[in-house]
Amino acid sequence: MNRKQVIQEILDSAQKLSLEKERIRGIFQKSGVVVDFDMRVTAVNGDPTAVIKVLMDNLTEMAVVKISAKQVLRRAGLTI
Amino acid sequence: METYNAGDPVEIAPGVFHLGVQDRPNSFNNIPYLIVDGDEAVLIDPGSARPGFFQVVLQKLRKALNNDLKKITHIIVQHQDPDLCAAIPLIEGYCSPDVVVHAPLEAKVLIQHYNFNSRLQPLDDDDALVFGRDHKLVFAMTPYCHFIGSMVTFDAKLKILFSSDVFGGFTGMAELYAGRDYPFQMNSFLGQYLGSQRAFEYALRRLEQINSTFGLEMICPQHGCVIKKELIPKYLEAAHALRVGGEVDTLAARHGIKLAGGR
Repeated sequence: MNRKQVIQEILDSAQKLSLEKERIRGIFQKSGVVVDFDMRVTAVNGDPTAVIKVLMDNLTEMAVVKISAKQVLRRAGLTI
Repeated sequence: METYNAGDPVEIAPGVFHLGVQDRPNSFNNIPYLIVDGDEAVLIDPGSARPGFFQVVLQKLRKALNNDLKKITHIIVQHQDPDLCAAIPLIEGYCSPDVVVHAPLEAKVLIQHYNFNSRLQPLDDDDALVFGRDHKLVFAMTPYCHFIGSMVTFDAKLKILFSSDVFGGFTGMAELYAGRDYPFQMNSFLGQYLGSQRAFEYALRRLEQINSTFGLEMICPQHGCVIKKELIPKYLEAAHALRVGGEVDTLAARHGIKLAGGR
């Protein structure tokens, strides 16, 4: 699974847990992840590993989504 | 899709009311349950002290009991966490003057710190409570799942399991019953909040024992969604496949710590 796929999986997971779609999109956008209106990751601006680190920091405001994201990273074998 | 709201209790079985509170921004809904039988009622995991939670539960209790909250003679708390215990000091004044709070023995020493006045009755494995006309609740300890003083409650009359955190899930949606996303929501919660594979396995096997002996009609967790009878085997299978305690491995890898043995 490449880094973009990992980011997409974090985004997909977030939507299964939370109704706050626009808030989720905003967190991804400000982390450097471009998300379209169908909630697909279309681009990652910068080094993907660095972007995931920023994304994880920014997800702190949505604890449950961040908890799920940690599990995604673990399944992907990433220690960030 | 059946949902619940902030104003009305939902009778999910005869005399059993779902008093759930949707926690939309945090995706961590909180579900107290009420069982009414004759002149008595039992409140399970009464919930949070935060006004936005407590007032919802209070309103639902008033509706379910036609304003007669004195019918509540027993409060059961299945472990010590504040999302289910913090409401005890707020709710006890509405209940019967003789209301008794029941909790696992190992949780009792912590629950006292919520500072309520009602008698606190410690429970051990297989203890039972009989109330109402012929209603029997049996308590099954589920140690370390997720706390040493954790238990589930089996309603022997209605064949309902109040499973506390076991089969709980993260969700901000107000779905009453487990649907398409619930396996993921359950795994997200349990995978991170449970630490011991062995403890989880014991809890699941004990629940399977109860299911095979008595036949469960539904599982009612304290977070997430109610699981109907026909889906119980599917969720048991999903739970068995779940790996818990992975956060330890993540941090061990980050800090270069090698751990011996299983979980």
